[in-house]
Amino acid sequence: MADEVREQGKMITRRRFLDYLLGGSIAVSLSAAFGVVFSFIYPPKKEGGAEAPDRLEVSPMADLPEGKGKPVVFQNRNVMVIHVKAGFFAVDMKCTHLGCMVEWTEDKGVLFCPCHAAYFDYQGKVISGPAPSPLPSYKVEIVQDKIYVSKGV
Amino acid sequence: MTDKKELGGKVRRWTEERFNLRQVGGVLLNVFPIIYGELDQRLDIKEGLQKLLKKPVLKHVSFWHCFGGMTFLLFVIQVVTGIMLATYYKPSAADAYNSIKFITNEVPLGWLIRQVHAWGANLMILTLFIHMLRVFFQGAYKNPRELNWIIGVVLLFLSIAFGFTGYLLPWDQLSFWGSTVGTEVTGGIPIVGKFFLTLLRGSENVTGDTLTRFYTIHVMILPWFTAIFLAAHFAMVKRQGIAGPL
Repeated sequence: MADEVREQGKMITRRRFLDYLLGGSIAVSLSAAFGVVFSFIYPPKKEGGAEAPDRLEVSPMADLPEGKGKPVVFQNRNVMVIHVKAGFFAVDMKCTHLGCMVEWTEDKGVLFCPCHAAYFDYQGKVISGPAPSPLPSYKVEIVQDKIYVSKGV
Repeated sequence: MTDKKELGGKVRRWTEERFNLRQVGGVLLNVFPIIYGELDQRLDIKEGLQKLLKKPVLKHVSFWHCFGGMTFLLFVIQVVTGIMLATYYKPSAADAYNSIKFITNEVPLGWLIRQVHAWGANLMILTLFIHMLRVFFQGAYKNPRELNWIIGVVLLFLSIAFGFTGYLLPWDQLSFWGSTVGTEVTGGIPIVGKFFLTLLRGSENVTGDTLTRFYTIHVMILPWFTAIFLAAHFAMVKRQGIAGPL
């Protein structure tokens, strides 16, 4: 009887059915356990940060004389606000090569990444080095002699 | 000729005056009767042990065959020195660097243990590679030992993961930016890169969360996996024997 059923291939035997049932329940239990482990391991979102204001007050204009750069944290990003002859600029400090933090070098007037010597100008454009793309830039506004940084160009 | 004889006599007299060789020998001789006597009566281990210890080394086994064992020896050294370091090391962004400084400068022989751990890590990769090259060029990975080659490759990746996670733990400029660059590579995977990067770092950037994460991987997860795979590696060598000569 059982052999007949197997040969027909239309029905499954009781044993086969119970095997599937057992295997399936083991798989479901294991994936539930894995789900618990995973949701514990994956880092939870920390409060603040992303909800930060759209516009950040950096400092009074007088505090950032020409040639200087000032690192700030804007919406969870490290941003360098730069004062050069052409005006005020703000660029993201995360190097587009491998994610190190670039620094403003006053004497040369360029942004420099210490990890693999990528150079960027004050607008974030690549001058030399391994960086594949320019640093993202931010909008800088001067309102009543105060510097503000916001998203957009 | 006479000089040599005199020197030998001097050495023997010097040793005999200072050490009771008979007693030392007696202690050693008493260990074997326990193993071959009382223990053997209860566990029946003598025959198996004799078989294991008196197994002849095959003629073609050369110095090049020693690098796997050297890698294992270095791993044991890493385990011992690692446990020693863990007694003083504090895996938090605030304390990590200072605890490393404390180990290096204040703990007696702390500098030595730390350097042995660091050098051992590098040498382990070196001996592992030589072992791997030996197996490759002698064709020892071929049927029926393919699975053991695969396990060996898994052990290579585990060793590299050990090195990579351990590199962050001193929490100085070199390790911080090294880990930043190293983990950033994960972000390059299309679509899911960002997800895995956050999972690996424990946050968006390399922070104290990354440090505790890497520490856990370094001292809790990797040792267990390595021990399990090593056991499988050795069991299969024992079962299949050393590959024949070229």
